[in-house]
Amino acid sequence: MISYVLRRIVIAILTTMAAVTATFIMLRIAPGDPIAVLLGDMASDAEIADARQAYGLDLPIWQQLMVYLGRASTLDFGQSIAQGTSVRELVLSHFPHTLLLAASTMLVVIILALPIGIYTAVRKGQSASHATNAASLVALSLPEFWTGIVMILIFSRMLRWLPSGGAESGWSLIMPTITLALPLIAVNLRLMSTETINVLRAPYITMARARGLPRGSILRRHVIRNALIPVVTVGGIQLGHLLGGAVIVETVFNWPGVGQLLIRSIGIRDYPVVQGCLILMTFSVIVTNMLVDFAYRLIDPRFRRG
Amino acid sequence: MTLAEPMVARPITREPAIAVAGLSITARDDAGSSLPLVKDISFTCNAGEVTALIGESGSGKSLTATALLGLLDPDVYDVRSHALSVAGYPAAPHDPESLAPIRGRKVGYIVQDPGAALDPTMKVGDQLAELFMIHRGMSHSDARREVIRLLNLVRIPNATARADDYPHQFSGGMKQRVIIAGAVALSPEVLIADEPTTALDVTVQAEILTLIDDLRNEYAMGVLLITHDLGVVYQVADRVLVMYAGRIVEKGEVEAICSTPAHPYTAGLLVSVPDLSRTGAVSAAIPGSPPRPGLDRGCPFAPRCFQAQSVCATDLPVLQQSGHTMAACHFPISDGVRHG
Ligand SMILES: Nc1ncnc2c1ncn2[C@@H]1O[C@H](COP(=O)(O)OP(=O)(O)O)[C@@H](O)[C@H]1O
Ligand SMILES: [Mg+2]
Repeated sequence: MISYVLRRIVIAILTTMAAVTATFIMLRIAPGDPIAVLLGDMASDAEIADARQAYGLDLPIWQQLMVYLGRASTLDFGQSIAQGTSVRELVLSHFPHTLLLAASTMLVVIILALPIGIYTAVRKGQSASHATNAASLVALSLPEFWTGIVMILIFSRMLRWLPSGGAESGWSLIMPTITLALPLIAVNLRLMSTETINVLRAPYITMARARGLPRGSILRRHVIRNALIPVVTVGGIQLGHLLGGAVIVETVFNWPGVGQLLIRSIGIRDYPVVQGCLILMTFSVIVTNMLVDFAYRLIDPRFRRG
Repeated sequence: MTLAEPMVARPITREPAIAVAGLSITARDDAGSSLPLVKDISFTCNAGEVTALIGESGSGKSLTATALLGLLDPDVYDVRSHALSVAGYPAAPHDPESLAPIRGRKVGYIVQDPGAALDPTMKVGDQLAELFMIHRGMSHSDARREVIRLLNLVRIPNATARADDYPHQFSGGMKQRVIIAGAVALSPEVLIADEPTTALDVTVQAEILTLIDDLRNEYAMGVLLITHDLGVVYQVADRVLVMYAGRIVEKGEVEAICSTPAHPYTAGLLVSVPDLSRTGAVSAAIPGSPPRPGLDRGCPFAPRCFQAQSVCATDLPVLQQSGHTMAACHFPISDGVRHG
């Protein structure tokens, strides 16, 4: 088990490094120049050259990469070109908001999608289950920006119940959470439902019935646990994405998370910050994958080897 | 009663273990058409006896067994019967769940394929302990003691440690023993065992059969034993039901069926015993293969029968007394005439 954990951590570090390298190179190849944005149209060639030197942008890409990786290994991700502050501080100051939004979204998704999914599976073929399926199909096809804007129109402009953006109070969390949660509820609900239906047909469920176990016990003790296995995988991937920052929703609701920081930094070609955000995203995905893996081992003993 | 008389434990007169009349099972497909699979079968299994249900694979044995427990998926199968009672408990017509109260307690079930018959995510011991906790209201520790006793009973070595293993850590034969343990856990009056020894190697086969027979003696269970191994039938059965293409074509006591079969199909099965015990193949003695499930006309065995006449192709024979057994055949093999 310990060797397994160590192996996973080494793999995680190598994956992060590979992702850093790839994004680093892509950012340098992409059109646009941070110095031009920073200094504006009026800067002289000499000023631009000085600034490039100051930020190390005059070196060949591979040298820049070496310098960057060297510093990154000491958790120094450089300075924001636009603001001059440390990238680490900047990203970490936005992360709690992203974390909060991701956590509240996943919570809502779990609380709603799993029980409703199980319910529709048990009520297969009845009108309640058809209605839920239709509703989740609609929820799945709504683009986030559209749901977000419609909610702002209704609940902020017309009814004046909720703030349209920002993160000043707990109320601000409601609409971004719902916007993010709706399509995820739809996906997980349908997955939970089909998995439950599949498990209900499994021979070991027939055998549990043959032993006279009541329906409720069978559902609680055998069906749900087995049906959860694929849902945990998918839920983990979703959580990984949420932790990297929800770009569209954070922008629509002016939510000060990592996604918003990323979009703003891309706009002004603030490479070090963009790079920092991307590293955080990669890292979130890697960490949640590891968590999913551990969860898997808890649920399914067949994975407990090595 | 005089002292000279031996003290023989006489079986208490009980209701038949299983009594079924006019059982039919039809599969519905998505297109809405229906496919008759088991057709109007009736039989009785006596308490304390082993009744063997034999026939080539595909003849409807497993469907029959599952229907007796009310376990067929009603979305797929339409199950009808005039009367069905298991362990003296009558099932409500058209409600398979009416049998739920006796499952596990009064009737145990051993499934044909043990491979996926245990929950992969739960310790084997816990899956058995459930039975005692739910049906008997025992505490977990009491239930666990019972589980260890059961695992010893079905001769799983190292029972205490094995109770904490998961199904994937068990071999096929060991899983089958766990399934048997679950089936007999609450000392049911009836045991339905669907090919409990196929897919096991020969030594394990013999052990499992002995085990079932021992358990029958111990609990005086009525056993419906499905098999296509006639060696097994000789060894443990009291009575035999022969199934072909969803119908019972012959039934009788084991000696009568084995020595003077009346139905040409049974006779063919008997001739092919040597292969049967190894591979389950009967083709050696009976040419051709069973008809595909569905509607039929006349005797379903006629196309393969060495003595079929024109009436066999048009009229369905009904079960009637012929010699020492009941057979559904227009031209039963008569006493003394040996098929060779
Ligand atoms: N849902 C179904 N649709 C069509 N045919 C089916 C269905 N279920 C079972 N059958 C057929 O019914 C026959 C009897 O099956 P089964 O009871 O398992 O036979 P046995 O146990 O005697 O080998 C088989 O030929 C099988 O293919
Ligand atoms: Mg079968």
